[in-house]
Amino acid sequence: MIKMIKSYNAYTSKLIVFLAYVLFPVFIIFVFSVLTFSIRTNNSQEFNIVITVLTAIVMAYLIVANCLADRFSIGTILVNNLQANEMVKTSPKGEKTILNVATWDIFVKFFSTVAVFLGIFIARYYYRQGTVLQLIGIMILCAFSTHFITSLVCWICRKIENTSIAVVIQSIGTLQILPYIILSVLPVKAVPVWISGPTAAVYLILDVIVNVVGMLILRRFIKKSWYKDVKSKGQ
Amino acid sequence: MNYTDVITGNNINKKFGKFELNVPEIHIPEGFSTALVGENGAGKTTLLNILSGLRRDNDGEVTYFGEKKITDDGVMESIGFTGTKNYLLPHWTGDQVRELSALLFDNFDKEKFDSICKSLNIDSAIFGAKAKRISKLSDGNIMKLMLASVFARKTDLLILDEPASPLDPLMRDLLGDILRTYIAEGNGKRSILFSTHNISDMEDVTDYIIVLDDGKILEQGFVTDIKEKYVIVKGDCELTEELKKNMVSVNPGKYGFEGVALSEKTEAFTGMNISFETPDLFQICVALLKQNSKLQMPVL
Repeated sequence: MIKMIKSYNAYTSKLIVFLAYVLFPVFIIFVFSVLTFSIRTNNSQEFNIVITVLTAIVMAYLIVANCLADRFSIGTILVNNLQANEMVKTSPKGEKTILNVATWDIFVKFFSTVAVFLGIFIARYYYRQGTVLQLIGIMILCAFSTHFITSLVCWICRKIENTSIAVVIQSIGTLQILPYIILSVLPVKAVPVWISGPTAAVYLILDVIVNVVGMLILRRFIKKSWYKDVKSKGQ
Repeated sequence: MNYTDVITGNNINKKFGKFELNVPEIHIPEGFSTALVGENGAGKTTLLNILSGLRRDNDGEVTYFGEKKITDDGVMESIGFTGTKNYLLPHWTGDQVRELSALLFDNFDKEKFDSICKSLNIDSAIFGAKAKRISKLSDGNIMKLMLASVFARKTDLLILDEPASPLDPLMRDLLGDILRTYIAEGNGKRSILFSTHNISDMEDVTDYIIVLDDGKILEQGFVTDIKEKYVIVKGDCELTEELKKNMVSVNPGKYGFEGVALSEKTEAFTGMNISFETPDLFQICVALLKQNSKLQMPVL
């Protein structure tokens, strides 16, 4: 695992890793905690506006950060074919390494997404909206839905293999999460647990399907685009 | 000369629009150094990519070390490849090249890599805590780094795409020594295939040559045989059409002509005031490539 992390960090721009997976989650958790603690005595309307705006920023950033990380990381990227360098292509372990990096990337994205939504959870907890169970339900729902959408957007971008179109789709992907932003900022009482529980399960299933299909696409991409093995000669 | 093939290709064909690489048969001899020569756009890189397994969308069949396929166990591990670009990612540092080479190739020796980098005088600023990115290096240093990462592995076959092009004369000379040592220490089991435009610089390290023109092989064979096959013809008489027919290529001058002809056709020049000389590899390659070249002297 340590070797995998080392290789992942080597493939990915350090700045992107730092921004997407370290600095921003820490920053958001800190801001949410401080902000909600400071306005906890204010009225509900003000609190909801603040949390709506910040949640929107967080989710938009997650989409962009994940897609950027995807674009700048060698195995997962594939939006940018140039990232597939010849040293990896000519290695007997190249394909396996890239698939391992891509798998690792799926989990890193998920945990970074959960970490960011922890900020929303802390904010709501301080404001004492709903029970802990309800809050966790909403947090998981948001995390699964965001992870599902980012994964979907990433593999659509890989599928089309065109950087310009991929950027457009990434932008559209950001808009797609608006319904979930609204859901996440509704007063907890308006989001019954039975909605957040099964919906989260549906998103979990969708997330798994998208990522499994994404890995299959990645494998095909390596054969087709890296080795240009479209005829599958088996040489 | 008796030899076995380290790479055998049959009926290799790949089309890109109007360009077609068409190689009915190619043999890379085991235990020797083979040079691939041709004009820009002749298909050298495409052929090297096919032979190294980077491209696999071609027609035909390529086998390695006997009857093995590129995907068979140990084949890719035994082949060291360097391309002209995109071999290393521009944001990598020297330390990352070392770590990733070790990760990707079981036969990579980190200590040997460090030692080679030192010997080749590669800019040490790409190593250490505040290392420079590879993209900040000169083309020559990038090529040296690529070569170091390949020479630090235990391989039986090197496929190098224009390794000498970005190197300074001193390093080219050293590269020749390194390649000769690589072959010599292999006891007949190590082979090299490289493309080059620097034929004169690399002649000392070339045992076998393949001349490629517009996707087709014009000539292939051992250098000693090729040199016997052709002859330099110099004459101060008039260059007639009959003379031209007997020559591979010819350059008319004010006081005569100079060209390359097949040795077997020297009888056609009997009775004329003509001298014959043994050509070097550069002269043979230029003569062969001139036959179909679209290059012309521009009006200056």
